[in-house]
Amino acid sequence: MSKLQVSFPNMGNCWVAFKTLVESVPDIEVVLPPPVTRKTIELGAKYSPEFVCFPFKVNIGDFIQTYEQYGIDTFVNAIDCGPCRFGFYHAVQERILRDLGYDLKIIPLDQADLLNFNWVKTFDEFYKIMGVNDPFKKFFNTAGAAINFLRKAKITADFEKLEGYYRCRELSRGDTSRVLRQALQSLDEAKTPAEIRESRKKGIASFKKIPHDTEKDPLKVTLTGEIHVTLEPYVNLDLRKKLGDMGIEVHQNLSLIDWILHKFHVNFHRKELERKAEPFLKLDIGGEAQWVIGEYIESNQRGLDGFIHIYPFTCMPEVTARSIITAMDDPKIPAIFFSFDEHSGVEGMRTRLEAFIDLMEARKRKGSNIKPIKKYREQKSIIDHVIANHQNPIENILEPMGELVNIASTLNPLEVIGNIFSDNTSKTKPETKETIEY
Amino acid sequence: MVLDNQTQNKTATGEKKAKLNVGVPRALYYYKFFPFWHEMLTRMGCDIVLSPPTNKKILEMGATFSSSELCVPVKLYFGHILWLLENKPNLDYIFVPRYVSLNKYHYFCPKFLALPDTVRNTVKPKIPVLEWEINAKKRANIESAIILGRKIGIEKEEAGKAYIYAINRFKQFQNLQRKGVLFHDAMHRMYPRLVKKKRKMRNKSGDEEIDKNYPITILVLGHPYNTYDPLINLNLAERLEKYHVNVIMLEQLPEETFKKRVTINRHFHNYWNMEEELLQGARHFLLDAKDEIDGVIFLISFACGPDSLIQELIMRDFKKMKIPFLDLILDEHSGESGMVTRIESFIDMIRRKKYRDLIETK
Repeated sequence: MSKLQVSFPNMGNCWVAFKTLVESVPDIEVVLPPPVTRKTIELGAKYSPEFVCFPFKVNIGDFIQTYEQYGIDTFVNAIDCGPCRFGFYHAVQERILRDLGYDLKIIPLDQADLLNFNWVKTFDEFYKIMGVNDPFKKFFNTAGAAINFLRKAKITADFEKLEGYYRCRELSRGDTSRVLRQALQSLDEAKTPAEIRESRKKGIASFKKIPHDTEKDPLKVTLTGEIHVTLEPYVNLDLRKKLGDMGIEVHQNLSLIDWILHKFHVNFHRKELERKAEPFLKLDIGGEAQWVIGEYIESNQRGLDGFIHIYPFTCMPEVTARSIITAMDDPKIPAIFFSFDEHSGVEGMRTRLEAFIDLMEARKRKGSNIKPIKKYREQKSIIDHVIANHQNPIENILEPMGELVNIASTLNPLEVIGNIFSDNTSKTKPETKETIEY
Repeated sequence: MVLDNQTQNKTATGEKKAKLNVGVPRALYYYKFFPFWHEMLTRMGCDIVLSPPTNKKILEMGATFSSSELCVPVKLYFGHILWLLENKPNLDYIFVPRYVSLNKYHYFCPKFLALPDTVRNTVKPKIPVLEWEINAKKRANIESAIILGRKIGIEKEEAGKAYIYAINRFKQFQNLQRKGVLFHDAMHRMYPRLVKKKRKMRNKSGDEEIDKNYPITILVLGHPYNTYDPLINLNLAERLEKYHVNVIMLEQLPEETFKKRVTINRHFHNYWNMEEELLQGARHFLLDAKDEIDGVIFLISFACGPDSLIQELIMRDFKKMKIPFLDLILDEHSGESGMVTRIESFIDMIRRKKYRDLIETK
């Protein structure tokens, strides 16, 4: 039986985690979409509504390119039922692509509230397609997939944090990018819980080996914004790399795992940010609006040098957040806002970025009047943070759980129960079936 | 009515302090919920001060003040608030409702969710903002009315009664609209003090006779703050009437149209409140009343989030049914002549198509 080929749209390094999630279903093969290029964006912009947000257009381009290049007709796309446009993506995208004559199917992955366990429905749909009926197998598969997904997403986020630390300090340019690529590759190849742990260890070690300037005290900048734009490098004109190459340390809390944990209601950092943002914005209005405001206040309290907010053009929640941030009175760190759409050009952005960096440097030379508050005075650097997190709850709880599920899924529960109640003689019966016939 | 008299007496006797002056900007959901707010607030002993109908100056104030990526209606809202702050110094409050959801399935657009916060933190008015959060996901509407009452020092019971009274009056207003009275006229009938009668548009042009003898019907879809604000849609309703076009607005449709939820596809229901009404209206004409309309005009403001997707869906459906569809994108730079040309040609096209045989024999 040939394997069912499935794909999903690009979102930076998140493919590692999503791949495990989808590939857990037996006989499904994940084909990664071609990387986002100028052509993807052109295709997307051509067929999308005129002023829909940018990720929508990029996704459309991804779907078309994957369909045309690899002939894949089954896609997974996440949805959210919040107040922002994200929830409508798959419905409208499917409609547009069908009308264009592409016979494809987009299976939604509901992540409005992960504790509702609506996301299991996506798996059910796959199991239905693949004809898996055994409830035990379904359960263990799904549980194992979820655990591996969470771990890989967390490790990817850790790697990205290390990337932010090392890129601005590296001695020969390009080392960090290479190491990151290799680390993600080995993470992708890891399948069992033990392998995942091993690849994490190796990845962190290889980051540490990068020759870098330990004495350097670079400018520190918070980077945050809408999740797709922040994570997908082509869409944000590779802002993270640009900043790193210019010698700026990027602090980015936003990542896939950050979002997923929030949806599981256990992201305590985000809850703290919500408290900080409350005087300015009382409720979650979709997107990242509330947390962007919180992050801005927190980076003030940490005494960082600058704040960068990026979002797709006309994104409703982020524009609201932007107008609130720009109107704040308090003594504050400089902030810059980039909105991206299919017309955004590199040079204009670089000019603005250079001016912003000059501004930050001048402030630093003069001595900034914004000092970190007591709580953050003895802040650890990113690298300590990641390595201290070596005993982080996700790894600690999920690794043994993953092992358990792994063992459990190899057993056939009916058989186990059957063995308890039946004679030992019945055990020999199935073996006779395995004689090979040609 | 018994209820009315009782509450009226109570407020008349129990009230010693002066009435509160509450400023209400004439923008956004003024065009849908104003009668409701008006009855509530006056019942609670407030005097309502409305900003004037949108004019060029308000538009300019709003556009220069707010972030360039916001949609025009929200820019106008800021314009109206700035006008109130500038010209009405004796206000006690500015009324900014926070519409989150009217029932448990739906949200409003994120910009409505954050409206009081944005007003408070960007305009920074010296007058306190009277916020009214309507969030059916969290609490019953009457409870939110009681919370509103507490803010301006009104007893629980009175606030509850005011809410019930306002709901009934609002239903009367909606019935008036269902009978075919356009928003402005209905408002004029109910609140002659606040809303002045409109002047008729003059200088009729075009071929009168042909227009008169061959009437067509057009459905105007769009958010109420686009379809009823004469400045932003360049007097669309009257302009259409001038060409002897029967205009159907969403508010005129019977109540049953808006009862069943809209399904987008096999997995998925719509989750925006205003868009639900648009889709329900569109569904009514696509399935049940296909022959009642000859064309559709969709008013959509530039950078409107929800509409950018909904418009795409509605357009595709009407195209499938072979009903002519025109989308007009509104922003603060829209020039009159360009828009008029598009509307005129759209109407001509429909008329020629509908009366093809008759006009040709002439």
